[in-house]
Amino acid sequence: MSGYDVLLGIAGRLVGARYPERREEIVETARAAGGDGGAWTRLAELASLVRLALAPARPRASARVVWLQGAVIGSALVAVTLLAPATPFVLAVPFVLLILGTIDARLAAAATVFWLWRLTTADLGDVIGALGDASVTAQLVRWLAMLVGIVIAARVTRASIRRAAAL
Amino acid sequence: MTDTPPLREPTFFVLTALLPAPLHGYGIIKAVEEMSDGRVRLRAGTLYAALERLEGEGCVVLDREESGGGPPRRYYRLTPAGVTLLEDESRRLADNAKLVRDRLRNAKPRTA
Repeated sequence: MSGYDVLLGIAGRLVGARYPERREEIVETARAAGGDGGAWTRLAELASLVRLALAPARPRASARVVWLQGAVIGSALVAVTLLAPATPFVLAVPFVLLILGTIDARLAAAATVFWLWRLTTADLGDVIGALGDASVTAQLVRWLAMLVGIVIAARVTRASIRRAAAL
Repeated sequence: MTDTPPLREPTFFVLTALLPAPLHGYGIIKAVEEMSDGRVRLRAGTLYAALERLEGEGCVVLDREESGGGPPRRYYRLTPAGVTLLEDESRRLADNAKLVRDRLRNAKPRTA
């Protein structure tokens, strides 16, 4: 048994967890395709199997449902931030969601909802006051940053939905 | 013209490979490689991801399964929905290519 066969077996187990009824077929196809080329071809075949096994499933839900699911996740995050102290870890969560949202639109939608909540619950009086008071400029910057965050997260969500829906 | 977004390249080639006759996975990979003169080389993972999407949309179905003592070979074939999808995509690509050709014809050559 060659090293490629051993690695195919490992990748095959990953694929089998997601496509149990097709595992053998997929592995045999990769074996045949890898047999045509050199080391790089075999490596590419292995990588494609790992990617197949780990890639998120194509969503069957409509964009509205994706946003709704994102809202539920975002609301849960809001609840956590209300209960837990605002540590850097907690504050970093929406940024992580945004990055992962390029793969899964629901997570980008969750980041959108989270920043929207932060924005709407901000003390707008402070924000307006910050416009004419240099000492509270930080508040204004935070408000603008959240606004930018909402726009970016919403665009990432829409792009991810379109990408996931593409055939 | 439909609202369907452009097909991903692997999906387009899988559909095109299946147009003449049903093929098994490795057969699709070889057919795509041949008809693209070696430019497109589908990996197994890419192929089965495309097949999963196409099956989910009812564009491709399992035709038959053969097992001559070795591992099973599943043959896939296009459905009428798959043919329609491919026709729509080829029309979209042709329209885009025509647009470019027309503009190239009318463009004035630039001097360096």
